[in-house]
Amino acid sequence: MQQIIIRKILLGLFYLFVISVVAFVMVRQMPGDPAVLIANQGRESEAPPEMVERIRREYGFDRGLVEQYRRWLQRIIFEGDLGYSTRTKRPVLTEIQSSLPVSLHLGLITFGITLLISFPLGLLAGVTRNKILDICIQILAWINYSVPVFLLAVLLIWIFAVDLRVLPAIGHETGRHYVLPVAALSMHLSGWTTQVIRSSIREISEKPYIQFAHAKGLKWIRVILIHTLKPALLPISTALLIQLGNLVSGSFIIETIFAWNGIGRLLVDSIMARDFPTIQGILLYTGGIFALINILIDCLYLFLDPTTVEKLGRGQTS
Amino acid sequence: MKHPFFQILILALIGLLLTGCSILVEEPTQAVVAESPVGEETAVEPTEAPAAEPTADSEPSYAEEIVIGIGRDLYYGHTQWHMIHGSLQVWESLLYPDENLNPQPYLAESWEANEDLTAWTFKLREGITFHDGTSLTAEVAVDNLMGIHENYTPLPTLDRMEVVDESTFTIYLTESTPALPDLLVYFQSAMLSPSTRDQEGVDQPVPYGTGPFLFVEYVDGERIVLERNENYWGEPPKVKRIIYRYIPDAITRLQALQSGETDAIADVGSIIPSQSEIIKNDENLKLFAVDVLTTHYLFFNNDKPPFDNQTLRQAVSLAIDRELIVNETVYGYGVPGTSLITQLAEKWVNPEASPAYDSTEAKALAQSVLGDERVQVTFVLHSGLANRWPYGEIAQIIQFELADLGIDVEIQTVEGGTWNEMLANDEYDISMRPYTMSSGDPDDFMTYWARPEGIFNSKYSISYKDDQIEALIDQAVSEVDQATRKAYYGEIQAILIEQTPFTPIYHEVTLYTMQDTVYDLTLDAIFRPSLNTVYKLAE
Amino acid sequence: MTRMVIGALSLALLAVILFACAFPGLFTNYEPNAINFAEKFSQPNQIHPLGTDELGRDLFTRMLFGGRVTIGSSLLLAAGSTFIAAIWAAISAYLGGIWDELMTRIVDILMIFPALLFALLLVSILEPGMRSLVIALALVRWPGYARILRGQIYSLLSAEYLTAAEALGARPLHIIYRHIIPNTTMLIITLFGLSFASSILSISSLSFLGFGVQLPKAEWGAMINAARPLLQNHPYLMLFPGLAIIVTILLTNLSLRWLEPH
Repeated sequence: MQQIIIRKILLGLFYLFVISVVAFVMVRQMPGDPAVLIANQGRESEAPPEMVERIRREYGFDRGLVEQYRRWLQRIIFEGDLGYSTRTKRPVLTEIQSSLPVSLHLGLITFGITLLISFPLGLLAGVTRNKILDICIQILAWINYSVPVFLLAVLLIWIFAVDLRVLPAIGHETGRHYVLPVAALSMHLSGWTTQVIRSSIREISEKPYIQFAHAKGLKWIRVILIHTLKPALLPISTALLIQLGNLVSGSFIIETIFAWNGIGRLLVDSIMARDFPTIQGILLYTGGIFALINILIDCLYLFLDPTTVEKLGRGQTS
Repeated sequence: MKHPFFQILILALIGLLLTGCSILVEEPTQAVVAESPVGEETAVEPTEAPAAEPTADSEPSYAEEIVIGIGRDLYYGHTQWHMIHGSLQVWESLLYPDENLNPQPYLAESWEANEDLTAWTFKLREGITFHDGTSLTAEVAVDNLMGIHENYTPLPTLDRMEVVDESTFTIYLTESTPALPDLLVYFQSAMLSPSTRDQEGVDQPVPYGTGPFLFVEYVDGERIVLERNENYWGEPPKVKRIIYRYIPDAITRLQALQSGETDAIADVGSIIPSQSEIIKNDENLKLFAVDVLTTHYLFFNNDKPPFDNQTLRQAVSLAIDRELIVNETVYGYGVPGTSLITQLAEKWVNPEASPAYDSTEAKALAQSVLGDERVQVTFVLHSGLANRWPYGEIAQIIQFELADLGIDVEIQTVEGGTWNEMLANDEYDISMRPYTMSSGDPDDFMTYWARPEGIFNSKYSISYKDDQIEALIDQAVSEVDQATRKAYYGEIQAILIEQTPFTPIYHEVTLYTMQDTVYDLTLDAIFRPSLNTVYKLAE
Repeated sequence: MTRMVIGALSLALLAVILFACAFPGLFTNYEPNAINFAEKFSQPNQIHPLGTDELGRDLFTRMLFGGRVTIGSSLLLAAGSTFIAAIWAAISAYLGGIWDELMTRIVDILMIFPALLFALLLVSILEPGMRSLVIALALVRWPGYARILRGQIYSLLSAEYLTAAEALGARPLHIIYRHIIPNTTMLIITLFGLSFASSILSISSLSFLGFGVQLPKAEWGAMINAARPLLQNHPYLMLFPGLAIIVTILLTNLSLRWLEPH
């Protein structure tokens, strides 16, 4: 068991290495001369050519791709240094450290609220024999899911911040500041998770042996929790974990609209500014999170699905 | 059969939810909303009066803090020589322009030049100190000017600078430079203390200026905090603390003002013109407008067909209804581009050199070039610019107008880096950009737009070249007699309007707004807010 | 029974919407890009059933033409990503062994790549426009679907009755035809439906960033974005395209539920 986990961790590290190479190459294919863009940041006038050349040499844009990558990798492995942001001249690590907690808090709380909403609803829709109730919950879930986030956000701000003046629109200083962004995000997400939970549960609760258990007179709570929910937990957890990964990577739209300095906004700003070191730093972080989540999912399979080991032998899971 | 992992998972989920709930009821770590001087500790029934003695004095109580919402980050740190934008009045300059764009003394008390204007001597105001306690001396001033010149080369004819005494220095030029004071206004003569440059390893370097406000704090991508400089050499500001809150989304920026979370919005391009309607309908907000030095230009790729043809360019210029554009896209908050350079440069504007609107003539000209054929052109927009100004709508209007001429316009909106690249590679026919004539001197403009080696001509492949113009520009820049100079620039403008390598669409009128409890906040022509006079009445 | 009624109704409504967007000329006389300042910001009235926008263009017409772009691109995106995923998963499962291993690893690596970053890099590298957006998003999404499909194919392959069939001498092709394809098809259709919904939303999210359809073309997501600053004075400009998205996604999924076998 442990061997498998260690193997997965090593594999994850290898994956990280591969995507760092891919990203490294891709960002340098973006149109525009990064030296020019960096030299002209924040200036009203255009930078003189000597300055552009100086910047080009300073950041190593004039060297070969392999050379550039080697230097970047060396710095990370031997000095633990992610480099400096070209956009702000501060260490990439500082940039990530100041924006990461913001996105994390938002992501985790949204995740929690989403679960609070969608678990009971999804469970209910999955086990109920009242078709109308099931369909109503489904429709509600689809409507929640399909409202574009930026539409919802601007509506919420208009109603609660501008009109009623009960909730703040910008910033993340107090708990009240979390209400609107979390509401906007979790509405969309809960629509989806409600559906996922409902599907998995419904698939099992329709199985003959569940009907049988009901017929036998077992207490229905026991039936639901142990015989229905448990087997469904695997696919549900898998889906939820992937969503969690997306959440903690930061939502650019929410962070822009509510003026939160999170990592989603940092990523997009860095791409627009051709801030390669920061892009690569964020990539390592986000890629790392996803790799970790993949490992977690695989562990889940190992623990919850007894046939997994067998399937591993036959090469049917990775 | 119970899997321990299953139990752990349930516990983890519960833990997650609890953490979430606890954070939701967390105590506030920082108050952002402006507070009145009365603190929360007052156990007494909250009153409107300040905690000080309740006399019959009708002196209004001022709020300590004002929050201004903006759409761009104004702290630069190590990425720019100035470290922070001039609007925040942390640093000041030797010279600053007045409403007529004439350079006025600021930190420099006076100046005079020699006969042929090749040597200018400046005298500094006495007794001015930086925020770190050091004094503003001639030596420090020269260091600053040289540092700026290294980075921005505002003085193309610079020979050398010499310190004369404690508060006097002289600038020597290689040729006669009548407009030297204009070239030194604002950013070009910013004064920072020497220790500002000693902050190599510091993540957030402090700009030590002489201004009415001290730089206190910067939270990346969120806010800049300024505090009143109690030792300011001039009239001290009324407000104790100013917070610049960075709000990237224009809609939220206004909504935060409406909800009372910010007190004002005062920067160029921070209000979308269509929002003026909303502000006017809101009884708690006041709306202001000011003419600024920015002009929005449409420019052509003069190097490749079809716009290598002057007649066709003239046709396009004639087909554009600039008044319509101003009325419909900026809701009247703009000046139709009837002069080549900003109308604020009254000294230099040639009223005869004015683009006209005549759609019949335009069609005739176009037909004389194209005949019955239609031609396809690409109009490339910079998405960042299009977010701050209604370039998208303007492009669609122009597209509509040019269709009549037989020109089919395809609009491409691309992000900044791509835009620069496309322009450098000749991959466009038309584009637009704003230009601010910040020095008030037309040579600035000419250097960018009209000289063939000018940056816009080469970098943006506008590829405009005309020997006559070049000669005129050279003559104008060193002409000592003002009247002759004006005549030269007048002629240049006339030729440029005739040849239309680029054309003005409209001159910017910047909107700014504030709560009705905020007073004395005005923006000048270079969008610098009057932070030193603004105040807000406490609740 | 209820399920059938709802499903059929949804499908019918959806068909109407699709038809209207495919042949807008039958439903309106206006041009989607006809600027007319005299009529700008009209409230819904008799000549303009949904009102007009900031340039005086008829909103109903723009909704139809916009629907064509939104639905068309989303269908293309959903089809593209599911198709690539299906082919990949099928080949991977069919070849088995080291090839399967390699192809699965590639999918895993792609899934670790942050989606937004990947999409933004791709759209920036490709030339601006809807086509690049669809290509970029398809390339970002297919690995997720491929993983699900491969899992399904393998679990089918390992089903007991297949081993029994094999033992009875059935040939591989026969197995594929009879057992794998029908069961996987259902999953592919479901994935396609889900993908269609999330495609519409992805496309509109990226238009928030400024990518996607170019001016002056109409597209529901872009229309919502352009109407955001006008929300407080002219809310209908934002609400109608928003409703269109919600309704389309809802109807699509209700119809698909109906198609699902019980």
